[in-house]
Amino acid sequence: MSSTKIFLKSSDDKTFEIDETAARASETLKNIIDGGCLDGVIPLPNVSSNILPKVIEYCKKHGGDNGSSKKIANGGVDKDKEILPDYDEEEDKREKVRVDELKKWEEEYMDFDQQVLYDLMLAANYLHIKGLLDLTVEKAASMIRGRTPDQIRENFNINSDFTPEEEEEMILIEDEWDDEWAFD
Amino acid sequence: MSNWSDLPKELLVLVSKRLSYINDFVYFGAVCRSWQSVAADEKHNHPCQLPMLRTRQEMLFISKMASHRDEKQFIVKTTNFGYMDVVYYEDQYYALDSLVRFLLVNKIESKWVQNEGLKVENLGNTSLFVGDNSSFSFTVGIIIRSKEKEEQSNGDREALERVRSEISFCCQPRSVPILLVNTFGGGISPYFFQWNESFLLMGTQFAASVFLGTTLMHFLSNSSSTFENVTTKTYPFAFMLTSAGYLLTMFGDCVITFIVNASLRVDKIEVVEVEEGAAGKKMASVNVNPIFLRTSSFGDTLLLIFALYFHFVFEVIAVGVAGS
Repeated sequence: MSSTKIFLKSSDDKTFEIDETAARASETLKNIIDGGCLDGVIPLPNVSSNILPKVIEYCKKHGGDNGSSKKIANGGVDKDKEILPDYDEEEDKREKVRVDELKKWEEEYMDFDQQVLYDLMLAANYLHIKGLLDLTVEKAASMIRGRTPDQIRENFNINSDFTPEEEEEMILIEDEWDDEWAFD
Repeated sequence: MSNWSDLPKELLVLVSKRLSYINDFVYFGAVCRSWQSVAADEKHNHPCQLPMLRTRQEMLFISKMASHRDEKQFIVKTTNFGYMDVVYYEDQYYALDSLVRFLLVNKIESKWVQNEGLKVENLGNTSLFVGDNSSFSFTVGIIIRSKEKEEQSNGDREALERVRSEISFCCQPRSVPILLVNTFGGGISPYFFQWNESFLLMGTQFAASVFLGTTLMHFLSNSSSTFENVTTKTYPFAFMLTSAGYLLTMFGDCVITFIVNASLRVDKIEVVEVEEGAAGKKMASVNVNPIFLRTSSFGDTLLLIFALYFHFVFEVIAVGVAGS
């Protein structure tokens, strides 16, 4: 049983096709689908054509993953609640393999520069795809960890908008923070 | 063209929440203005608890040390495990590794340099709480001394009082039979032994003084502590009242002696009149206050003993009440 196709239109008027089950990974799309706009094309003015395929790729991987057939058979009832009681060791093992695979896939999937990351993070936020948002946020955080402010700026291509005097005082600001923190 | 400084605030918050190490978080806030404002808002929600250090005047948080920091900041070579925390003690900073060993960090011209592994045996009166991602130390006796001490001394006093009352409760039941037997035995002894009358008199006085002594032992301390609880004045009310009671008793004693001596003359005359025919030897034996000699009758003795017991009952009740 194949699922319904949904068409998404990017900000630069390019149309992309996605399965309904995959689209349901996005809360925003899910609400639109449940709202009854299935016939037409869903416009996404905040997502550009170079980012949308990336989003769709993620949705395909996560929206159409395990239990999707069951989910359709059950008429869209929450799949996790249906599956949970049936868990056995076999299922556990398969789940583990699946998670490992998924991790590998994520690693490859997340291999892009900060510009794509920025757009993808915004798209994930706009489309309410929690998993993708977590991934992108984590990647951004990993680009900050263990780096000095200068290195962080370089990583994210940010120009410091602090005046040189403020930069000088940065250490002092930290000290003040410490004091404030102390009296919480 | 992406502009990370324009990233929506909610996304920056999400990112900042993933920075569990405080220096990452601080550096996050030092990147640009929009990030700084997020960091300033989020610092209270930051999951990482900083090591809290108390110095003499103020309380400071010292961030975890990175391997390379600016000159103004701590420079400590990171080991395999890294340093868990920094502890401040007597104007020195100590780096603390995961095996809870201390390294002295010296302050030389506003620059922190690692010293060669100086192990610190103890931290003196600085308390140190070591946690996985958070530790804090403070100097006991400087900041929390006044209140803590007060509470402690109050606690001590309560404990002492409890112990004291326990002791008196334990001891009294055991001492009661001994006292009863002794007083009863002493009371009826004149019927089995021929005591010297003056010895009996002295014995009575001795018994009375023992009673007085035990009473003072029991009640003086209790009443003085009661007075302490009732008033804040340090004046020794209980002791002064005891002294006043003594003076009153002595005065009463003087009055009684005066009256007895007055009646003694009459008695003596009577005795002399009755036993006029007897020899002068007899006179010596009668040279005792005749009032006390009346105890020789059985009924009087019983009455005396009952009076003693009656008094004793009151004393025990009083002691019990004072204890609880």
